Amino acid sequence: MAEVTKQGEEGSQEERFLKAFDEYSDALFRHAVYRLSDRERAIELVHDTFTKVWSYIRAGHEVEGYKPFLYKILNNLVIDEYRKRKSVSLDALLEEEGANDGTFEELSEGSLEELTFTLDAKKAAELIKEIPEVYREVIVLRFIDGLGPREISELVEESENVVSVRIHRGMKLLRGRLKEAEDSAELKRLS
Amino acid sequence: MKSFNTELEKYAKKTRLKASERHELRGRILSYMEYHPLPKSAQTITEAVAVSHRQFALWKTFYMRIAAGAFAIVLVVVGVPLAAENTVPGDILYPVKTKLNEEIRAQFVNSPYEKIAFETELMERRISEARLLEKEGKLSDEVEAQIAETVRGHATAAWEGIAELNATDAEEGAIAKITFGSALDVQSAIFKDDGDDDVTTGIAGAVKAAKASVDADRGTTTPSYERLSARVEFETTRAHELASSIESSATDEEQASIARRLLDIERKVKAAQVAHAEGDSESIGFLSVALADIQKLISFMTDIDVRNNVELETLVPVVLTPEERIAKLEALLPEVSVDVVEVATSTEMTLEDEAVEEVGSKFLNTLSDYIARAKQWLEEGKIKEAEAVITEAETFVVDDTVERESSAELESQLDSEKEEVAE
Repeated sequence: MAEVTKQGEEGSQEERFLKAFDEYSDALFRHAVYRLSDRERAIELVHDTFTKVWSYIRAGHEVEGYKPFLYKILNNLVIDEYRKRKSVSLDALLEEEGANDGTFEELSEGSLEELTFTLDAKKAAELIKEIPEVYREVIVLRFIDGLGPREISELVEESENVVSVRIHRGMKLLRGRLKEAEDSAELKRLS
Repeated sequence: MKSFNTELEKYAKKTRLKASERHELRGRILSYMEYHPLPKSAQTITEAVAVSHRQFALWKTFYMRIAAGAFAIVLVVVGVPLAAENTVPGDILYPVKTKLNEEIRAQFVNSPYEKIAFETELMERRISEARLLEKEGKLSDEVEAQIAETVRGHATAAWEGIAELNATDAEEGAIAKITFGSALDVQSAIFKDDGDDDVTTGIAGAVKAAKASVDADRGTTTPSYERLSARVEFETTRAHELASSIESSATDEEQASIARRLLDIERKVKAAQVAHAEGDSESIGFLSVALADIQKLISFMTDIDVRNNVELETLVPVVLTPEERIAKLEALLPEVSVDVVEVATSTEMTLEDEAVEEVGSKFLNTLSDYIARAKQWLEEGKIKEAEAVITEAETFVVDDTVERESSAELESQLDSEKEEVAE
């Protein structure tokens, strides 16, 4: 009887794992595509995410909430991927883009509502891939994956304030890029 | 803000895995899981007890005594309950079976679903004990009344468990109802075979009453397609495992019969999948029938009492494939055409013969037309349409036969009346 119960639990653990795959594989893939702009690589990272989770379960750990756990692992894999691609460290990247932790004052300069209201969603989605990784990370998590600031702050291991500032700056950058794109299109049309 | 979020999310959602990519990725992950399985059992850490040689010598006799004591305990703790498992009411060890073994097992029941399954199993056990006693001629009215009361108790407990589960998880409750219903169907089929169908008292009566409650409630709650599908998949795997485990003991005929039912069940599941893909709510009905069939098949494979008392065909009748149904219809053609040819070629053809020939030819043409249409649908992969035509053809065959038989009967009646008048 004890063995049957054990097997039952084992079965349910496998079922939960596969259910998580069915439920989140698309969302994770989308996240990876927006972060890496590389479809094939995105599939590989989703694969690696799930095999890592499986190894974690095999080691005797219990996964309580799949969603945050999967995002956390994928996020780490994306960061690794960036480290591989660029020889510069993330800290250097932050410095280069002038991304400090930010302040509340900055947030009040123009509300997020105002910023987002003027952005065209379709163009913005395309331009997300062009903004620096440090902003892209939070923008994708916030607007593509639909996570809340608290969830994001836990994922990227930063305070909610820092996350909010990064989202804010990212949106500002997006608006800038969008305007540039519109201007150059207008210029082309006139010439 | 909200509309921007929604717009962006909506646009981003276009980025997704292609069905082929998802399928391939799932396959890769599944094979990874297969090659890196979960450990069979949790590792129990046994502390290594370091006993020095001197200590060992000192405690040797003591350990030997302990070992002897432990052996005796094991004999009592393991041997007695094991021996009790095969007892029937009236045996000395029977109380060990019901009051100790089953009580201990009850402690391991964790979920409401397991509780229902356990109560169902106890109900089945009591019934098979009664059958065993009956076979040995030991089933007195008094004992049967006692067992019937226990059966009623377990059935009520299972039914109450379903009601409780319905309150917390209606879908799981609906699935439990299907499995409990199949167990009762199996037992009812055995009583029917025994000719106890009309009995309202005793064990047969208890089963009948429980079945009536389930039947009256059938279809009031339905599980979701996904939940049902998961349960069907789980039970089908179990059925396949059982089928391969009895390969050595079952005859070729039995194996073929079981394999045929498994194929039928697979076809039902496939039909459900097609219906689900088309957004047809019938899919849940198909799956429910498949689940009930699997449960009955499992009962047949696992319960010797069921196997000895009822035919598999009674429990899970063979479902003919469209091809088999067409073949059956086609088999009718030569028979009728021989009759028609015989009549047509007879030298002394009467008016009645001509009428027979006409009816026969009409029957042949209509049936051939049905068969051709059904085959056409099948070739085009439209199984639903093909089945509809086959059903139409089957009804036509039955109606036509009845019509021909009744007209033949009428004719013979008229003939005999004429003869009587002539006399």
